[in-house]
Amino acid sequence: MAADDTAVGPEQAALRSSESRVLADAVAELPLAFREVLVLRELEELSYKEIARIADIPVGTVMSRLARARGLLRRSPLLHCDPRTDVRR
Amino acid sequence: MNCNEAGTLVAKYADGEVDSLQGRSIEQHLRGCAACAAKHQDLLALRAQIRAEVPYFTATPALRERVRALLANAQDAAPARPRPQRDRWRWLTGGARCRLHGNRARLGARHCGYRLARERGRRRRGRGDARSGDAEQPSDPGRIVGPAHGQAVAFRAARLFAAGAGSWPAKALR
Repeated sequence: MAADDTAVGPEQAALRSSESRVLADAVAELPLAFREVLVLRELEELSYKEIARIADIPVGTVMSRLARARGLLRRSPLLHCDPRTDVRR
Repeated sequence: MNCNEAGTLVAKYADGEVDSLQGRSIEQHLRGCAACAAKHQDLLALRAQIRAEVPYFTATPALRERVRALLANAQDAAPARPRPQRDRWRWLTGGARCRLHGNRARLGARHCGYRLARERGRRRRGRGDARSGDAEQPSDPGRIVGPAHGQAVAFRAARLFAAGAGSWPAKALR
C-alpha cells in the first residue's frame, strides 16, 4: 500500500500550525484602523470604494492605510521569529 | 512609466483597482523592472499567505439574521433628521413667542389669583364663618388660602399654558 503523498508528519503539522498562528497574531496586533482595511480587502475582497463607504473614510485614506498595514505586517517582529527555536531570525 | 510613477500603482494593480489603460502601462513596466516586479510578487504572496493562514469565520445564518435585525433597529431608533433650512431663527422667534405667552399668562395668573381669593372670602362670609371673613388670613395654618393660593393655582395653569398646552387648562383653576 503506497503512502499518502499529502500526509505530513506530526512535527511538520505542528510547525505549519504555529506559523499560521504567527501570521494571525501579527494581523491581530495591527492597530484597528489598519487591521480593518486589511481584513476588508484581503479576506472580504471588497473594493477600495466599498471599504471607504464601510469605514467612512476617503478612498485615498483606504489606500494609505492598506499600504501602512502591509508594511507593518512585513516588518512585524512576530513574523521574523523562528517558531522552531522561538528566537528572532 | 518610471519606478516613481509605478510605485503607487503597483498596489492598486495588485488590488485590481486600475483601469485598462493604467493596467497595460504597469504591466509593461513590470516586465522591464525587476524591483517593481518583486514588489508586486511580494504583495501577491502576502495576500495568499493571509488568505491561507488567517482564520476567517463565516457567520451562521442565525447570527447573520440577529445582526441584521439589530442594525435595522438601530437605524429605526436614530433616523437621520435633516436640519430645517427654511426657518433658521425659529429657536429665537419660538423663544420670544414663549416669553410673550409667559408674560401674558403671568398677568392673567395675578388677576385670577385675586379673583379666586376674593370669591373664596365672599363664600366664607356668606357661610357666616367669623374667622375667614378676611380672605388674606388663612383660617387653618396648614391650609393655604388667600391670594397666594389663588396665584399658585393660576401660576400652575399659566405654566401649563406657556408650555404649550394649547388652550387654557380650566382644570388647573379648580
